[in-house]
This record gives sequence, C-alpha cells and structure tokens, in this order.
Amino acid sequence: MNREVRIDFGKIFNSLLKKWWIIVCSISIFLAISSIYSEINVKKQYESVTTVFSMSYASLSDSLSGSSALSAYADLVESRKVAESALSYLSGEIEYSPEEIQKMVSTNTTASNNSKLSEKIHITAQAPKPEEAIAIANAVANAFVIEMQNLTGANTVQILDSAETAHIANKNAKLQIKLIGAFWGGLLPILIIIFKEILSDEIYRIEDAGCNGKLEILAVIPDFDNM
Amino acid sequence: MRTEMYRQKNKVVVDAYDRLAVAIHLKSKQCGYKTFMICGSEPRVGTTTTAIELAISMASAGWKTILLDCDMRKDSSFKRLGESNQAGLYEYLIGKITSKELISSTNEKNLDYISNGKSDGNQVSLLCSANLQELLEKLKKEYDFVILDVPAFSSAVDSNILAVLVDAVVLVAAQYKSSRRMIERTHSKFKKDGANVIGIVLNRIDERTYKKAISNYDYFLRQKYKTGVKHGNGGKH
Repeated sequence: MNREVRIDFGKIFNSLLKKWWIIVCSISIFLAISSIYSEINVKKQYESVTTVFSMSYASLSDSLSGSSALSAYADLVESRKVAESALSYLSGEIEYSPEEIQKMVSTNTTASNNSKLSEKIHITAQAPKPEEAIAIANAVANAFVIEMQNLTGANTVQILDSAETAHIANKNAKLQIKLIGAFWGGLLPILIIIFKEILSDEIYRIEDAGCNGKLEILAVIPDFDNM
Repeated sequence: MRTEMYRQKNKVVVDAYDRLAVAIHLKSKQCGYKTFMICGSEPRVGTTTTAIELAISMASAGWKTILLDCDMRKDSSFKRLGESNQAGLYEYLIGKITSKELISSTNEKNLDYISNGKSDGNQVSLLCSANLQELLEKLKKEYDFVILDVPAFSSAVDSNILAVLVDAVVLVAAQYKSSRRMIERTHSKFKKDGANVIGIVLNRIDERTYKKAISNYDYFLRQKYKTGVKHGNGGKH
C-alpha cells in the first residue's frame, strides 16, 4: 500500500523549537563526554624541527650528486637504523626504544623553484616534553647525516638548522574533540526529531483529519486550556 | 434526579461548539437525522466533552435533547458531570429500573440525561440487546436530538455495535494526538459495517491553527464591541 509522506518544514521547525531542551541537553552530555575523553587521552605534544640539506663546496657536479643522494635516501630518516644511531646521541634521561623514536619522527621535503640543488629535508620530532623534542630532532638529524656519509662516502649532506625551540603541536586538539562532540550532540537529536516528524502520523493540519477529503470537517474546537 | 452539566466558560470555545451544533442541525434538516453517536478514534481526544457541549448547545437553541452516556466501562466520576453513580443505562438494560427512572433532568433547559449506570460487565451483550434498540426508538420519538457518548473506537467494540443503531456517527480527533491511520481505520470500519459517518470534529487545536480556520473568531470579543464605543458618536452603553 502506498503511503504519502508529507514534509512540512514549518511543522519540523516548530517541533525543533519545542524540543530545544532535548538538543541542549544532548549537546551538554556529548560536550561533557568529549571533554573528559580529551582530558584523559590528549596529552600535550611538543614539536621541534631540524633542517638537513646537501651542499658541496668542491664542484657543481658534486653538489648535484649530493642532492640526488639526499632525495634518494630521504626515507632513511625514519628508518630503524637511524633511530638506533640517534639513541646514542641522546642522553640517558631520554629513554625511548628505536620503534618509539621512529614513531615520533616525520619528514618533509621542500625545494625552491623545483631546483634539486635547493632541496631540504625538515626532520620533525614530536615528544611530550619540549627538551625531548629538540634533542630527538637533532639526534635523528645527526644520525642521518652520518648514515649518508657512510653511504655516499662524501660529506655533502649537512645540518642546515638545528632544532633550538619547540612549540605545542596539538594546541587545538582538545578544542577540536570538544567541538566534534558538541556537533554530534546537536546533530543527532535534530536528525531524530526531523525523521520522527516526517514519519509522524499525528494530526497536525485541519485537512489531515479529513483523510484526504473522505471525511467532512464538521467543526474545529480550540484548546481552551491554552487560550 | 437532576444532573448538573458544566459548560465551558471560554466564549471562543462555546462559539466553536455552537458552530458544531449548527452543522449537526443542518445535517438533521437535510437528511432527517435524530440520533447521533459521538465517537473518538482514540481515547482522550475529548469525546465526552464534545458530546456534553453539543447537547448543551442543541438544548440552548430550543431543541429537546437527550444525552445518553453509553460508556458503561468507565465510572461516571470521570465525566464532567456533577453526579455520583446513579442507576442508569446498565440497570435499565438488565431490567432493574424502568424508563421513567432512567431519564434525569439537568440544570440546562430542554436537556435530559441518561447516565451509564454501574456496570459489572456484559457491556457487549447488553448493547446488542433488543432493550437498547427499543430505547433508542422511543427516545427518537420523544426528542429532537439524541446524542450518544460512546467509548473510543480503538479501546472497545461498543462503538461498532452502536454505530449501526444510530442515524449518524460523528468522529472526534485531537490535534497532535490522533493519528491519521487510526481515523482512516475507524472510518473504513464503520463504513464497512454500514454505519453513516457524516464527518469529524477536530478538537484541541492550537490558536494558530484555529485562526487559520476561523480568522475572525474574536471579532465580537474586541473591547469596542463589549463597551459599545462607536466611532464618531461618543460612548453608547
């Protein structure tokens, strides 16, 4: 049997207005849950960057081959071998495994005007403490430079800028989680109310009682309690 | 025995029920209907209130009217009537009282009342009995309008039995409460049984919807018409 579904935007809007308290409660609950979740799970992460590049003062061809090697072996930064070597540069206060060092490190390659000669690798380290982030970034960069020297037999790969400061990496992470929580807290009840109204069978307009013209509306009686 | 009927104090509501009375009167004039069954598709839509107010409106217009409470399942203390459990329809149908003892007058002129009585069960068999049919025929001869208040369609089978014994059935629904599906089901069941459903009353509508239906319902309630102040001619009381 076909059933007519009528979407009355006015009715939906009125229903949302009437049930505003449900939406507010839902947002509050989701916000509270997401706040607790973010407090428990989101820890401050500090980030520090060291930049590595390739340069030869001997000849242009040496510079080019050095840059090519840098591009080719950029992935080594995140390798276990480099992480193990980096540990030797870190003092005894920082106790991480090579796997943990690998997870903390990420790279980004940039070049000016697409020129191979100007290619640089930015080594970013993330850690719970700023001094750890700085130390790890520098240690990994040093270990990478040594590894490249071993591989190429040349000293073209060098550290351009050492990491000296660290900034908070996930400054907005807690706020983002709270906003996502509030968003879903508001959206879910709104969607439920809208679908309930669309699929609702209750009499809303006067014509609804007439069953599509089958019944004559003899009279309409107002709600005296509210008039 | 005299029964107290409580009328609405709100003039707008009284006017609305008077409009219903006019509609019923016109149907009666067109088709000769005398017995009307007021039936809700679902409980708690204001069926009893509608029946009482309609009966009062018809009586106020000068028509000899009787309100028959056929809801033998509910105690009469749930009705908006100032009476306790007097003997009524149930006792009459089991032969405990006569028709003289059955009918009571009310505080409204031209309006009589038959209460539901104190039922112990067997409502269905009593409603199917010849006694009730004879009573309805008798009331039809004596009164201009016979209004029956019955339990809701979805809650008891009583309305199905009575629907075919009356001249016309008036359904009652409430805004934001009744469902379209239930009204359609009620209407088609009554139609299938051979009952004459003449229309529906939509009850408990909000002011905004009422304004759409009857845009100037409050025209004569405006202050200037109450105090008699006429433009340009000074006050007139």
